[in-house]
Amino acid sequence: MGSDKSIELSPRQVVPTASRVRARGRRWPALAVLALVFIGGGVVVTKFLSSAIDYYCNVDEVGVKDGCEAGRRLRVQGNVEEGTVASAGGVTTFAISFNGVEMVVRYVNGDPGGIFQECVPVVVHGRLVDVTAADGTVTLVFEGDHVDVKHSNEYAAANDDRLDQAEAACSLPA
Amino acid sequence: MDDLGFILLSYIATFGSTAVLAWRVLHRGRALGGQLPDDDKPWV
Amino acid sequence: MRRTEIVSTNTGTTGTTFTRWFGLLAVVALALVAVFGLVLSPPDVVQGESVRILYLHVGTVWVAYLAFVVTAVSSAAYLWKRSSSLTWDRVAGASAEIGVLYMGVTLLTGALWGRLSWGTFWVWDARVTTTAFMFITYIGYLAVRGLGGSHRQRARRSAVVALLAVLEIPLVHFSVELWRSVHQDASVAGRTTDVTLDGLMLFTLLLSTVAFTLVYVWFVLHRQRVLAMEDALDDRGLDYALIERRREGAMR
Repeated sequence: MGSDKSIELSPRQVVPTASRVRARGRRWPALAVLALVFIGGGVVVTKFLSSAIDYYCNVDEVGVKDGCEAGRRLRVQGNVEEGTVASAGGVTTFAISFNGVEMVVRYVNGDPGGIFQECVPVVVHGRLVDVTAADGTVTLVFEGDHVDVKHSNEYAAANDDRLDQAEAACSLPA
Repeated sequence: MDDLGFILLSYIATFGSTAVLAWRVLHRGRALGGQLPDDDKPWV
Repeated sequence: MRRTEIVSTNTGTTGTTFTRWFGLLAVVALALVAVFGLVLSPPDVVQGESVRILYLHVGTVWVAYLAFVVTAVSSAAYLWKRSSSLTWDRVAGASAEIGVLYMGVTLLTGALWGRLSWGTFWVWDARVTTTAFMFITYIGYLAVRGLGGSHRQRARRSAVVALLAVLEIPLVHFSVELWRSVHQDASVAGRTTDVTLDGLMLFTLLLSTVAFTLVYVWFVLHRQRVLAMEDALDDRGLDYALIERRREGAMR
């Protein structure tokens, strides 16, 4: 290259090369994606701060812990108690417990879905309401409209020896 | 069965996206490889 | 542009004998994942058949983590010395692309499994939210790579982003322990691992992580070669412009 006499060394205007022209043309889609990334990131961070940090209260914290006040809409986590699940007229009732404290749940949207069954941990979305029974007694019930079913870290093969799924879930270590 | 549809969709989406990306990478490689001398391809 | 003047012999492919055999191995491994995941492994006693989705979910999230760590390590290697080879940058970029693909697949399979197990496609809990944030961050990383400028500018800029973004991995992984989450704890690599997995289920899970790792390595090998050729073509563009200049000068 150094011996090439045809090279002119005087200062001259920079001529855009193919690569630089292409790079500049490519910049706008990248900037548009970055703008969407900032918007999407902002939404996710907002959701994280407003929802994820304290996703739920445990049953024993309702009315006790800050943010778990009985009068507001809550997400409550507990284990579905064995033998408490009953369905009638599109309402599923069951009891959930945590640390020895039990709460009765009235789920108003039919079947909770997922792998909902006895002995599995669930997070119920709803609020505490007073329910007056036929005999006039008033009890506090958690009226739920959404159930997230948690899954533990236990993975076991289903086999014919087990009587049914619910029994199997109750036999797994908590 | 709800479960079967979701399970098959998972496998189709995973293997399908892998196959599509593999095809795109190989196709792009072939397209660019034809424009460049082997000096620019140390793996050759 | 008269490219024919420069092009001599060319072999139009990014493959070698090694990558071809490696690719074949990856395909066989993926086929085995499908056979074990869909047919041979048993249904879970609580989840039923939906556990089959987890073999893909865990395998792909493992590769996404691996890919983002490799992106960070390659970026650090590039920044370590100013004279570093751009190959580090290309490996970082190729790795991030595969990571984004498999992080997207992880979110999709997680949503499908969530619908069957949790009863809902999406929850704004700690694990799911931080995973979504990491996915968005790495799309941003790829966008930063496409902002233009010289190869060295691209490499420096994206390396800094990669080193910041990788800090999200421990946040995502341990989010189930730091905050209350609907998501189960880390299945295999948790700090306080207390997991019981049926033998064939565990085997299928491990097979899946191995298979997707093979696919990842194959992808990075090919993709970084494609990126190298894209860079070389850009550089060739500069060479052609210089040749044109010389010719122009000689004619005066």
